[in-house]
Amino acid sequence: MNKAFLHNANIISPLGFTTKQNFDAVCDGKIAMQNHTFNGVTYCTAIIENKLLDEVFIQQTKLNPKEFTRLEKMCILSIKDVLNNSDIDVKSKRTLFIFSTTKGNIDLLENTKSEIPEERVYLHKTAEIIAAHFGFTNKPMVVSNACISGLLAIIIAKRLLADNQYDNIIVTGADIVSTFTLSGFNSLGALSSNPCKPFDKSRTGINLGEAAASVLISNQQKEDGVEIVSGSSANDANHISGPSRTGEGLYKCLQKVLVHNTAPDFINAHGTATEFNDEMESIAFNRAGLQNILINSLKGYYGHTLGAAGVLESVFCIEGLRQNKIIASTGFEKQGTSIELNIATKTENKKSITCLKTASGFGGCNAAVLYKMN
Amino acid sequence: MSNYILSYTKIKNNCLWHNDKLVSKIGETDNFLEETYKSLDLAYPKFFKMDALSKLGVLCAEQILTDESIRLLPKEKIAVVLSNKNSSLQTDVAYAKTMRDFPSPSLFVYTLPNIVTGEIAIKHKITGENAFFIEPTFNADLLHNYTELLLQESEAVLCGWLSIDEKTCDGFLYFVGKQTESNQKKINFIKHNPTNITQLYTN
Amino acid sequence: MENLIENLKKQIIEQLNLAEVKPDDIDASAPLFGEGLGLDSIDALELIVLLEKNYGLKIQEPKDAKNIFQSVKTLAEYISSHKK
Repeated sequence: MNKAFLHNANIISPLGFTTKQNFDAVCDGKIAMQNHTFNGVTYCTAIIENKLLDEVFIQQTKLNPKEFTRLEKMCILSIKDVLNNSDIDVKSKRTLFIFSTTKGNIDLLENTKSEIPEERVYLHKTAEIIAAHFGFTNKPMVVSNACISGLLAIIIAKRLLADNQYDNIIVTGADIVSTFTLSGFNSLGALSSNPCKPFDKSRTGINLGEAAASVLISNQQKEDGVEIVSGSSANDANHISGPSRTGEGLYKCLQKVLVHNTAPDFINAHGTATEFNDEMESIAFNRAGLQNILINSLKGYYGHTLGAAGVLESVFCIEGLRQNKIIASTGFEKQGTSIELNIATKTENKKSITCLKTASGFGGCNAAVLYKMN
Repeated sequence: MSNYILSYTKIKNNCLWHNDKLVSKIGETDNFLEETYKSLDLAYPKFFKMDALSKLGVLCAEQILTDESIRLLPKEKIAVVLSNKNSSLQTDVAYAKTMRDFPSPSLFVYTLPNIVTGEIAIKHKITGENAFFIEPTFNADLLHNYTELLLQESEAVLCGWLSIDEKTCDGFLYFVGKQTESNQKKINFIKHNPTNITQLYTN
Repeated sequence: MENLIENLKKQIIEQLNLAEVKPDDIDASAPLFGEGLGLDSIDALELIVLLEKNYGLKIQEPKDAKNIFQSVKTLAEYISSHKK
């Protein structure tokens, strides 16, 4: 059985257009959320500046930015950066592109004046446009499984590589902020009007953020390749929009992922800053005996980037292992979960070999992945 | 060891079939899903809160997951792998109509394709692996391939295609597992491969 | 008040998709959540929308919602006392 290694990675976000720019910004404590107005309502949300996106897009592709949606431009730039730093053959039958998104070009439903054809609201169509830009021979695979999509796409890639079906897989996770998602989460009372505070006692909900993140996963181990040791998903079978109070699904994932492995050196949690998610995670981690492991959430920097989250946050896991650094869980001040967790309060050096990444989403889904530096 | 399709259901042209036997036939109606629910006597009031995609999935899953030999399988080892072409688009459009004035939370929670996985999981307590794929058309190769990978660790997989648009409901779910001592006399075994999957879908 | 209660029952049934429930099935004094109709957290959010859409009323303090939505009767009383 082949192993799977993460190599090049990219993040396109309000904090930068490369992994380095993003990692440096977060180490400096920068956060992506600001106040923006959509349909007359002000939200604390993380948006990529359109003018900058188009400028960089034109510069990098020489194409007309009006012919692509914001999401497509973000994804194309993300994959381009990954490919620029690698020598894989996208035309090979042994290369696959997996696209993870929850809502795709959902802004097309709001914007009747758009020049983009209506059919681009179909997620597979979006994936095809992106894939066609690079000339992938294999048809793209599209994963849409709520907020675990990105992490699930990485798990699926690992399984395909282990089975020797491909040599290289590019996984891209992306979602945009839109009136659709903002108004929707607002109607659920899930949004915080200030930068969110994962695991904190006074947390009041999520911020939405947009990003595209890509990773190249290969069956070849290179110098700084990080291995995907194990991955699993599971369903709570409890409620469609609230997590299991006892963390059933997440706990099952943790059991599976850690069964042959020692405890990780740090955990990057889902940590959305809702009352229920963070509480559920603390219970699940405790059940798995992980309550003392150093843990953080990145959502205080980026907000919840939905379909991008699993990939974007995994890129930080990889960098954390490569640079032996733990990022502070910004927004956290006081213990806010019934189980006390060992929340990282400072960005500092920490020698790490393994890292656990978790995610949970609507529909009762959960996922976990164990990464290992070689 | 081979894997087999142990049970399958289809909803097409206002009819519900289970293992090629007609279970329910509803005439021309706008409320096909609700009428089918009533004809099955499901006694599950939550059904009416679901969107059309979830209703379709729950109806298709019912005959399979209440099947005598399937019902007793360990629920944490049953995966659910579903797919369709348009995600939750019908509900997305319905929600978008409410979002300018009075955004509807009960519509918004259904604006993700995998919510149907959640509804099936809740009703039948299925807690294994999940995946939802978006494909331009029914893709037996993809479903077969990923299901075979999952069966290296899962005991069974509920797979299929659930497609809803303004005019049609197209539901096809099938259950893949192993031949065992307890089920071997009760079930018609169909080998799990893309050809057979496609044949069951198009028949 | 009787009229308002009857209208509320019909609106609740419609807004919350309680397809198998008739207005006569709802006891105006019975709890809406927990037992009885067994409404859940999403239903509570839809009731907030119903209040605003049909009666132009916005609940100022989210923690008041629990008392206001205790039963059809308490909801009707809230509307009566706050309607412009």
